[in-house]
Amino acid sequence: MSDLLTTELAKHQAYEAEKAAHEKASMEAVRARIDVRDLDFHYGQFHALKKVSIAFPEKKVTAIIGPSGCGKSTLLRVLNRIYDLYPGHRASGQVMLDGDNILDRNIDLNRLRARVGMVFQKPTPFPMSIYDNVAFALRMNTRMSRAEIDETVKSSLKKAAIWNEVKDKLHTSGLALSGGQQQRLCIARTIATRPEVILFDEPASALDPISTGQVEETITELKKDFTIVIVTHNMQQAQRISDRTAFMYLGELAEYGETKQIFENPKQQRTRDYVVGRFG
Amino acid sequence: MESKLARRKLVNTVMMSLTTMAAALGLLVLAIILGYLFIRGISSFDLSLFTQDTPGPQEPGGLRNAIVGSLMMTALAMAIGLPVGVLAGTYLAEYGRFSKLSSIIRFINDVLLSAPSIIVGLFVYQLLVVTLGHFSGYAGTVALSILVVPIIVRTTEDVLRLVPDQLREAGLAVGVSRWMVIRKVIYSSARAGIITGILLSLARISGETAPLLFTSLSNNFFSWNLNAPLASLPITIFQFALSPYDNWQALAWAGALLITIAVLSLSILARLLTTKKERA
Repeated sequence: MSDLLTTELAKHQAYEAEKAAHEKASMEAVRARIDVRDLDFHYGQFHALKKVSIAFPEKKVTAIIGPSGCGKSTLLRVLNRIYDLYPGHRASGQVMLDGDNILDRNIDLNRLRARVGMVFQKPTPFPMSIYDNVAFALRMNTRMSRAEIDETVKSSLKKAAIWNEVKDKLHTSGLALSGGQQQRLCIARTIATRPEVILFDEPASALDPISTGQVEETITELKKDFTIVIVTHNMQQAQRISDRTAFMYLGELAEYGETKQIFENPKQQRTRDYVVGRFG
Repeated sequence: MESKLARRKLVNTVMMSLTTMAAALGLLVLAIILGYLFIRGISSFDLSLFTQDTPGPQEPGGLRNAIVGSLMMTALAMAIGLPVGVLAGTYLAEYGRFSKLSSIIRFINDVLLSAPSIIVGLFVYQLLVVTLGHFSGYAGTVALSILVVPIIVRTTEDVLRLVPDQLREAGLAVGVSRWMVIRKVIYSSARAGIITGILLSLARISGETAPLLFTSLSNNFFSWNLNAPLASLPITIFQFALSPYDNWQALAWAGALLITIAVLSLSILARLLTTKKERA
């Protein structure tokens, strides 16, 4: 009896070890696109991120979850340095993107933001036509010809799954679209600059379920070409679209792993409580 | 309990009547002024007003030289004050939003905004008229532009601050420079408000008398020369209304009606622009 138990236990342990090794190997196989090391962030006196280290793998969707105020949006806003707009917002540590530390003082912010695009919680179309919304950054930052811009606008709108709805009214105001359409327009505008990484800050929280579904489908499609980081409050959404999930708590990275593991077999009690909705 | 309720109702009725009466009184005064102005002004309001110059006592004539002088000084004052005002307002709301310099500029601007216009007139008198040795249209222009700037700075800053930060972040997030975001995104969203501010400042200076009294003085003859005393509507009204001559007094009324109509049109235009923006 006890022999049997011992063998079973040993078998199980061996299995677990093999699984862990396998997971580790699969993680190392995909290259980290953005590598965050020992990141600290302050809003004035408030210490919002504490020694966060996390690697976002290339061409995968990584979801960041956690209760309000845990620092997940803050982490996202460091990745394209949009926080730089406000005084008293300070980041220290390292955020490596292709060998550059983007926290460096002499990083060109316009170029960084063209490489790391962002889609916001509320749809934010510019007060201009649908076409111009997408062409805006191209005209400002590239030397594309008119035909190339036309082509890029079209392919971006197609990738964002909104082309069919807007192809006949490209020159009407982007503000006249519905909320869901506006959000997909913002996605099109972001991919038009051909970024390497796209950050989504709760992109569907202001949308109805149908629009949410469309945006999620779009994100899943985009994974083929882009590295995606998404902050979400919606557990189901994180499970549906992400490959890896990071759980943040009180400014720290509490747990990080394959989405399936985080939701089905979290290592920490706090993660378990959060993903089943016991707090948050 | 019953009596308390009755008392409250009574107080409410009394207060409602008082506020209504106060509003009605204000409106009544305005209506009387406008009505009286219209009745007195309309009798000599004809084409000769625009084709003939200011006459001598008891001679036929119009206000052509005063109208042209006013238009010239107002236009030039706007040409100076508008870019300075809009750019300074942009600095306060955008580039220098959080800087120490901004709070100083903001304070000085507010002081200037409420400074009596006669002080501005005296200042320019010392600065240009005394040093150059003669009154001139240029001096009047400078005085008017000093009145324009603080109004435009204030309204521009206020409406730019109403543009949500999200739109600013969204513009920067596609990798476009700060100035291009301001020019193409922020100005477009705030256009109606900025134009309203400009129109209101134009309305304000087109009736100003005190600052011109010490600077451009007046001129009984038609003149394009800004480097010499120049006629203007407010000064001509001032001069003619105080005169004992019937025809001068009649012209003063017609001039007053003319300015009122112009200012009223500008205000209505400004109002139309704002309501149009609210609907969009």
